[in-house]
Amino acid sequence: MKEIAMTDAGAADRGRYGPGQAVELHLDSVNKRFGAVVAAADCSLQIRRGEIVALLGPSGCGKSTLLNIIAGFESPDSGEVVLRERTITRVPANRRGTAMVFQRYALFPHLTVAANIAYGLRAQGVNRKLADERVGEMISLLKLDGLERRYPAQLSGGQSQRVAVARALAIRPAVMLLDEAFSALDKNLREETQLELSLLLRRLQITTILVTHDQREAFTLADRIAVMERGRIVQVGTAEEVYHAPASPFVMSFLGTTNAIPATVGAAGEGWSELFTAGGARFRVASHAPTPAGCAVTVFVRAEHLAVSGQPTAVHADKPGRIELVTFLGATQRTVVESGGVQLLCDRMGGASSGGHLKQGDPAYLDFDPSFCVVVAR
Amino acid sequence: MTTASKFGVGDKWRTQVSFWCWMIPALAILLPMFVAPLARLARNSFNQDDPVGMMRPTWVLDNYVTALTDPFYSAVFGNTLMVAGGVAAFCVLTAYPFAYFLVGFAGRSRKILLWCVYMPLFVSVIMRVFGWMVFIADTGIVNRLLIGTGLVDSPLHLMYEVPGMLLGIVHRYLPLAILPMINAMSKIDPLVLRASGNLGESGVGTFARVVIPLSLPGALAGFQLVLAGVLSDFVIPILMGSTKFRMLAPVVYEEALTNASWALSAALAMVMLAIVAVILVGTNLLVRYLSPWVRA
Repeated sequence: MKEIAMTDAGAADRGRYGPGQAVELHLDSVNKRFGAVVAAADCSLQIRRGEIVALLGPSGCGKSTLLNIIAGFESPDSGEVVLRERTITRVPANRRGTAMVFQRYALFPHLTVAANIAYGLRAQGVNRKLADERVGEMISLLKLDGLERRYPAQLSGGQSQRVAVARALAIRPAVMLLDEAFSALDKNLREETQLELSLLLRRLQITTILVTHDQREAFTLADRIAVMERGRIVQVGTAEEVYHAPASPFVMSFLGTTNAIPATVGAAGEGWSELFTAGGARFRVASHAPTPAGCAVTVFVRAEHLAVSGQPTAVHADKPGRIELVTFLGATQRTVVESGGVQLLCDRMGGASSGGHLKQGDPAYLDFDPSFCVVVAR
Repeated sequence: MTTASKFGVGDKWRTQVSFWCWMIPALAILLPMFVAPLARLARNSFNQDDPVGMMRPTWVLDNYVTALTDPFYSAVFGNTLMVAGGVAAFCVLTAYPFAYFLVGFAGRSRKILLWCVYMPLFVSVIMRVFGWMVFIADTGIVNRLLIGTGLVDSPLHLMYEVPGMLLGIVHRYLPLAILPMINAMSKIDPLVLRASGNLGESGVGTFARVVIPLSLPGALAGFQLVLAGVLSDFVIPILMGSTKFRMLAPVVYEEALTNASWALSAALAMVMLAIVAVILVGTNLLVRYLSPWVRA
């Protein structure tokens, strides 16, 4: 059983890096409320030079607010934002050296592609010759050749997005901020663009913070992921860490497809407890905190860790469930099983493995490795 | 062959018929009440005025020669164009900060401010002129206050003079400059202003490089509306203006009804129509030149 404690992810992150690794951006206990809504609660985060960090969470979790605080569009109620060892909490947005790619790109409709890219350079007083050079560089870097004289209204979604990226990169920002920068693109284009940008940002060593509610996007682009829930950073780690060692049921159910199975503690001993579910599954999990027998718990198990079988299994020998639906999802096959009054989702690659031969209405037994389960007391 | 339109699909012939059916009410008003009189006016402008009767039907350019060369009429055209251009420019410049504030910062007072813009449009222009009389007449509130406080010894002659007339005209036409400007400003995506700040531009820089160019088409639309309105305004110059500073509409009226010079007044009106047309086409071309993105 995984350790479940609502750890202060921010505290763990503080002081994580030694002097050798330059901290580019430092959020120190940032708080922000909008009336009764807590948009950011004690958010702390350190980002190294050249690192790409994703703020991942459902809509309304405060990730955009945090990004706006970094950009200077919002000011925090308390806490500090430190960029390259300079506290910028009260510095106006136009003197911060951050560059944002907005969800709807926010290109200047009255300026051509080239003028859009040159906008920030002119604002900074870069001389025309150097600015032209830089614009040319950006045009070829983002494959915008031939579009220099077009207006934003004449661009496709993908082209607009590349112009927005070029415009932000042109000013050589200390930190690049991506606010749901891919959500307006079609799936195929989105994945292609994510990959390209990921490679580009790494090549240019640009420190980047991206805000997204899309796990795939965060995993594709980011070195580290900060998962947010109701204004709080609940876990910071690599994609593998947050996926395989979620700090809370929230993180687990937000990443991937997760089943929540109500269960009861049947017996408990030193370092273990035995659980049984209404559907007849009975299994033993490792447990560090002693849980008394009869205690109600919820077992979280990912859809890809749950299998179905026509025969009794080691964890489920009694009271078989029933297959309600078998769905073909392309790369995976999803089976919906009713067991003990709850609907459970089981995902299998391809569909040729266990349970693949089962059809709707068949009795089914659950099969899973209890060590993949996360158990929380209810 | 079928064609699709917003309200349905049909074959070409049916689409044609339904097009004309829908146009009939508008055409029934426009043709006899606007196009026909205008055509008649154009025809009249080539006639010759008869001091005894009405007009002699001829095809001569005498009236145009008079309208364009007589110093009296040149002064009238000059006065009218000067007032119209000046008032239009003034209204647009006043509308800019007002619309910017209303769209960008007004918040809850937005509705009240909008109401203040619309309100005068609902009140008859005659009533508004009477309102101004109470204020700016020689014995009006303004002069009584000025004399009472000892700022002036004798009343300022505002009413029936150019300043009073300008006040009335600005008051009448300012909403026509403000409304298209509000429309243009509302269309500016606030995110674009954010992007400007994010890229390092200051507030003033953002106003100059983003707000002004994006609202320019609205500003020119307001300019056109005010200009066209003032050029042909009759009521305010008649009720608030001076006989020493003549404006075109009252002059045309006098020529037609007092002097019975129908042909000459028609020529004056046609010249003004041509001037308005040239100015409107010119400003439209200016928009195309200054804001090529609008057509993109």
